[in-house]
Amino acid sequence: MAKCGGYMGKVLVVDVKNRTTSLYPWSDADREDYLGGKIMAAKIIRDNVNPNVKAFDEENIIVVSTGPLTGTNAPASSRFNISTISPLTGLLTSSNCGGNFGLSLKRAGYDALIIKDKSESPIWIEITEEKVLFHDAKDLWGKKVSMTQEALDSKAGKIVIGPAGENLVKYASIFSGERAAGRGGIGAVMGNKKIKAITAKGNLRPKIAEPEKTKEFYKKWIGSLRDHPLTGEQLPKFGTAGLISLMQHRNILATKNFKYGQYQDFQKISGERLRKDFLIRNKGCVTCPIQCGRQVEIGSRVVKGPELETLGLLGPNLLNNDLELILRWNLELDELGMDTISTGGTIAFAMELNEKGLWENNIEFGKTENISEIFEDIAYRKGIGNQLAEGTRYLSEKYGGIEFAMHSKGMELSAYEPRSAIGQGLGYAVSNRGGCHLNAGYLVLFEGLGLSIDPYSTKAKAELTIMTQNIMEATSSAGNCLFTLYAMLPKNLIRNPNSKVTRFTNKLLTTSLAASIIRFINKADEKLLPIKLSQIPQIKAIELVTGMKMTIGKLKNIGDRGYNLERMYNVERGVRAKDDFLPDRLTKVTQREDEPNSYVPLDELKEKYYEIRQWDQNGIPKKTKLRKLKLIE
Amino acid sequence: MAKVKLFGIYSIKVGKNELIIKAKNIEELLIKLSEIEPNLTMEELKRSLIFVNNRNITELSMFKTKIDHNDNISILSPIAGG
Ligand code: SF4
Repeated sequence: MAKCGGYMGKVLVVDVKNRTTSLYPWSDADREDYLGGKIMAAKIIRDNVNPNVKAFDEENIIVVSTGPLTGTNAPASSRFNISTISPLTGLLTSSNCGGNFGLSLKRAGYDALIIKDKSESPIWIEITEEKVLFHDAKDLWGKKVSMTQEALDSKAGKIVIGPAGENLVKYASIFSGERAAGRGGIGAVMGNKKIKAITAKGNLRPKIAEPEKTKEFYKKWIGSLRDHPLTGEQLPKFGTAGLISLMQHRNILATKNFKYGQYQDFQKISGERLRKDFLIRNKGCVTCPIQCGRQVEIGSRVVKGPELETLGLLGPNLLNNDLELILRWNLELDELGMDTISTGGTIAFAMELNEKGLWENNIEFGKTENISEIFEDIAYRKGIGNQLAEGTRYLSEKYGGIEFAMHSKGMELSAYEPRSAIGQGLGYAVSNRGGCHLNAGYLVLFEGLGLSIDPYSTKAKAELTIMTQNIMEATSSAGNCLFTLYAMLPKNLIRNPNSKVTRFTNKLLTTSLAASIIRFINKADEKLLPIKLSQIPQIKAIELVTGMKMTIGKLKNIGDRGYNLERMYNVERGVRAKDDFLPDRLTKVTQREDEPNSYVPLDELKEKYYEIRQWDQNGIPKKTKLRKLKLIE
Repeated sequence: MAKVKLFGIYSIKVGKNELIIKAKNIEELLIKLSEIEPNLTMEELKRSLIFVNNRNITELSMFKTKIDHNDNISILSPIAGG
């Protein structure tokens, strides 16, 4: 049993071949070092999955993990993580989800769930406080996502896959309610193991080290989120979709397979238009005061609205200006259980291959009539859908066009065009997960979305990327939504972008002085940073809930440990510097005629990044660094 | 005559989100805009993200940035990021 608060103290192992269960040893010392979520999952996978194991081998495991804040009423803390070996990248992948499964898993008494082996026939698994049952899923197999969820206990938390997962589409997702663990093809791994769904239910709650103080602190934390311009106003009013207009003005709205950073019809698919013509109400994950999700009306149905990524990749990136169509496509992809980002990215690449005469496929930029049919073909692997289901990297190896194949490590890039946010470009390239904006460190928040630091300068970009990656890694592992970190940016800087202080801060952040300070923080021993920053409330929350001593130094180091742990495992799977890659379009072709620096100077940025991370020229973490992080003896 | 477009929270506050305004610089344009749209105060507008032909005024001459005929001005609520 855990002495630390916030945890249930048990990790469940389910062997789906032999239909047995056991408990995985996970100690308080592990909790201190790895917190939970994706870092905990990386540790379990590295310790149990040989680096030669492929995504669809029965030796691959799936780890569903929560954090210590999950289920403690902390704001935006129902998030849970799913990690496995990705069929899309061939590497360790993790995907975060806001549905209620994580919360329910804890209520059933478990901090995490490890799924081993492969069932011979379709099953679904029921987890309660008392038992784990294996049910035949022949009647569920073939069903779309919402019908599958409706067929299961309405009171239980669930994760399910759709037809795309069953048919091993390399970017199939897992759903929990309306929320997806979208990226990396984890749905296909679940499908390969023949698991259609897992439910969890119970009434247990984690013990909290300082219950009264925690309650008080959460009240204040929720207040500060409500009071912040990003988490209290922008996200509730416009959702992530509200970013489209700003991305257009900042030249970071990926358009026509990332050929451009602006789209002339952006207003037709913007967050403002979504709000005006389709929004019914806000919705969000359980326990979240921000409620960034959208509920929209199409026809007479009220359905989940699209996130920014979906709008961008199914809109400008395909030269599609029909917002209503994007709402329908979003729904169709959710029902099939497919990642909207990778689907949009793969189709855009196929469109460009066709345009250039490299692959005749009847998919064209701006042509929307056949897209729904193509989604179905991908999900059921029919006709050319069978090839599209393999993703962009596969298509570029087969038909050419590597220089405009928009992926990193096999994962399609998110909707931010990085040539006018080069720190984001560096992040995409080095990210453990591949072309994911969040695992990249989300520097675009500093380079135009929240602050306005020079998006073309290389100064301090590597330093800032490492800092944000580490903090995001640890926050996610605590069970908290990464959007709560927006509130880290001082309100006054966001509220008044024209003030002298804001302009000075923007300039300061890309100076050698700032680079040196951030570099020091990144490399500093945790004892040198023994403070609790009020800008990052997660620090105090973790301490009050778990009883562990937490400081910014310790939190940063946990994040650093997580990032390096994932890197080290990927290195064991063959990743080297050459894999921290972006296509030539982004690194060799300038985006804007009036801006000669509008390209990602990747080699220069990578060199600095490796040096500060203490990775060698090949991108391999040095032994001294790993020892310091307690990752090797 | 410059074309002015309003985004973010401003698009909710005003009746029209596209206007044609004649002004010699941004300062004058904001004054005129706050007169046409009383829901938008001068103080609020001065705190907005302002782009002239896709260039942020912080890279230009701030409120003294000159406006030429046919320029495209975009005004985004300062919290458009996130
Ligand atoms: S901010 Fe949005 S994504 Fe994050 S927990 Fe809240 S509703 Fe979910």
